[in-house]
Amino acid sequence: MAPNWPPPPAAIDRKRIIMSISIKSLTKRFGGFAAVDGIDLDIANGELMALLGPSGSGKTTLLRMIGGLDFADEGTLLIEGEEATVTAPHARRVGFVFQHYALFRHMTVFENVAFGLRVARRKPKLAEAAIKQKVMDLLELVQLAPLAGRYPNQLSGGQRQRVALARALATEPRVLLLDEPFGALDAKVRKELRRWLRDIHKGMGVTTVFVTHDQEEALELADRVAILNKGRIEQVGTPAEVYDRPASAFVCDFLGGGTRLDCQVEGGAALIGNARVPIVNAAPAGGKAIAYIRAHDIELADGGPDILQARVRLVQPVGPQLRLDLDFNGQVVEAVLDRDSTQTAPVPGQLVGLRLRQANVYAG
Amino acid sequence: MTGRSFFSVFPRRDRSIIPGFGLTLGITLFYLTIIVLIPLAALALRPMDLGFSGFVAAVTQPRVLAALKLSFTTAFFAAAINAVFGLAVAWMLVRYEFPGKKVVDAIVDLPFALPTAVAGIALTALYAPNGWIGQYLDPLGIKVAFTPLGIVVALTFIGLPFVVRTVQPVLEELDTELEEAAACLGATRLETFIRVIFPVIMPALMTGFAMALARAVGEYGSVIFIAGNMPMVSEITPLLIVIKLEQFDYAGAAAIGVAMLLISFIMLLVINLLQRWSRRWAGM
Repeated sequence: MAPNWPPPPAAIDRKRIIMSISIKSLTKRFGGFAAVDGIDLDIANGELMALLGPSGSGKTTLLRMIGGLDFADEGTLLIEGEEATVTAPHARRVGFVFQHYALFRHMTVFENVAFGLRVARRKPKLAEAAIKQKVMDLLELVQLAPLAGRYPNQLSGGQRQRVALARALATEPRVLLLDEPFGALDAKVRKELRRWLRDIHKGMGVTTVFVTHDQEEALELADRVAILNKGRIEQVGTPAEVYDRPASAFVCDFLGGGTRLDCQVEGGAALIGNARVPIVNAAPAGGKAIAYIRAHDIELADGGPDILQARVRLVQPVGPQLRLDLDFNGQVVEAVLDRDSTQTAPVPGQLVGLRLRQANVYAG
Repeated sequence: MTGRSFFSVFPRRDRSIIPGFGLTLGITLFYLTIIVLIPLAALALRPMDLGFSGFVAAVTQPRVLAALKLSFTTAFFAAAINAVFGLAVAWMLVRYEFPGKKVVDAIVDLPFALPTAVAGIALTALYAPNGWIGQYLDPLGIKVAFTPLGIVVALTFIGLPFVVRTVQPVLEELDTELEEAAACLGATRLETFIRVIFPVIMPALMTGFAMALARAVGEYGSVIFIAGNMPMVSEITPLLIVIKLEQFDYAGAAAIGVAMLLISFIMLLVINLLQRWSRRWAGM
């Protein structure tokens, strides 16, 4: 590809680095409702950042403010150290990829990608040969060069999304922003595109922020994940950090927290029924609390200490897994077993013993 | 016997789950035949009395040629004016919220509802040299009523709803993300309109233009009041047909009618082809 993009930083030196995006107490209200409520976030140069949250959490509004499509009521936004709170989108030099692609359907794939190179504001003006070279390089990168003469209507969803990405990259943005980039695609294409986006990001090292409501997507793709809820950031960290040490009940629940059970904290362990379950996070010192037990942290056990009795309600083989719905004192407990290692699969109605390996516990 | 023999006219693979093909096809053919085809056939057969040379002689009379030229040029200008200002009205109705928007929206349809003769009388009263508007235009040397300009005014009035109502839904469906995408890529507002929005609404605009044009070519009621109806100057073709009928020259009237029909058909065909070209991106 063109040599204009900086190579990816081999080792991120957190002290020396210029923040690519620096957000200070950014707030955006629609009517009386704060869609984004005082968010602070720093995104390092070359980082691949995910904004993860349920719908209405403010993640898309935050992305649109970074892109200059919405403007903050309060707070500041710096892009590469330059004030960008209220500047126009083109002045920020960001590339934006929309959820529904927003391709110009009356233009060919080539003309779509060339659009940003032909606009009057573009300085210096590129010669036609240079535009052609650049567009074909980008189409080569997104593996769509043979389809340059097609119209968007003639492409599949995944191909359209790649055109949208090539179009956004054509103007050599300092920051690439993607709004639910894979939301409208089917599972297989989504998986391919994820891998492919990560490769492109690695190759170019352009700072990238993407919005998603799919926790698996965020954890798989991002260098760091910011989890949003009701316009605020609940936690920022690497995928491993946020998954292993969820800072709040919301984060734990959103990242596949599993079953929620009432418990009693006693001597550094959670007491559920008669079973003592090890706590992995910084839990409240004592008293009533809520325990989250992930489905794969539950195993069947015939006997021994700290066993809960539960009745099997539903057994569902899903690929290599066996998913169980269990009834424990009227509460539904979800468990996932390995199909290969389960000698005899439990049947509905059967009474089984459960061992809970660990729990995340939060004040109730 | 099974249902298969009943449907055997249609090969199996062509059968569709969408119901009513046979029924609607039958209705369509019957309806078009009695409403459109038979009257048009009668019209085309009528000038046969004249023979081909008689037909040519009837439609190439200087008065007929002048009327045809006047009808089509005024209709063209009126449709063109409506294309520009109708687009502006549709844009405003779709893009902005303002008090009285519903009223404005309703006013657009008034030319549909009003008997066109009433519109003609009202416009004549306004634009006559002593009328509300005419009295200010007259000293400037601009004469509207009783001239071809008056015809354009009347045809513009009756053609307004067509462009607005065809462009409006397309503008409503236009994704604002397209404009945001263009803005992110550095396009100015004007560039965004010319290169992103206009090509998408162009086919609808041409449909509206064609409908306004077709309507204007056939318009009679409003025009005869404001036109002055001077032969060779401001006499429109439909009026000339009526005059021929009043003189019991049925074949001559039908000959002019056929000439109008042919010209209209060719114009609509050309517009249709242009429209298809402007939508070439929509096909598969």
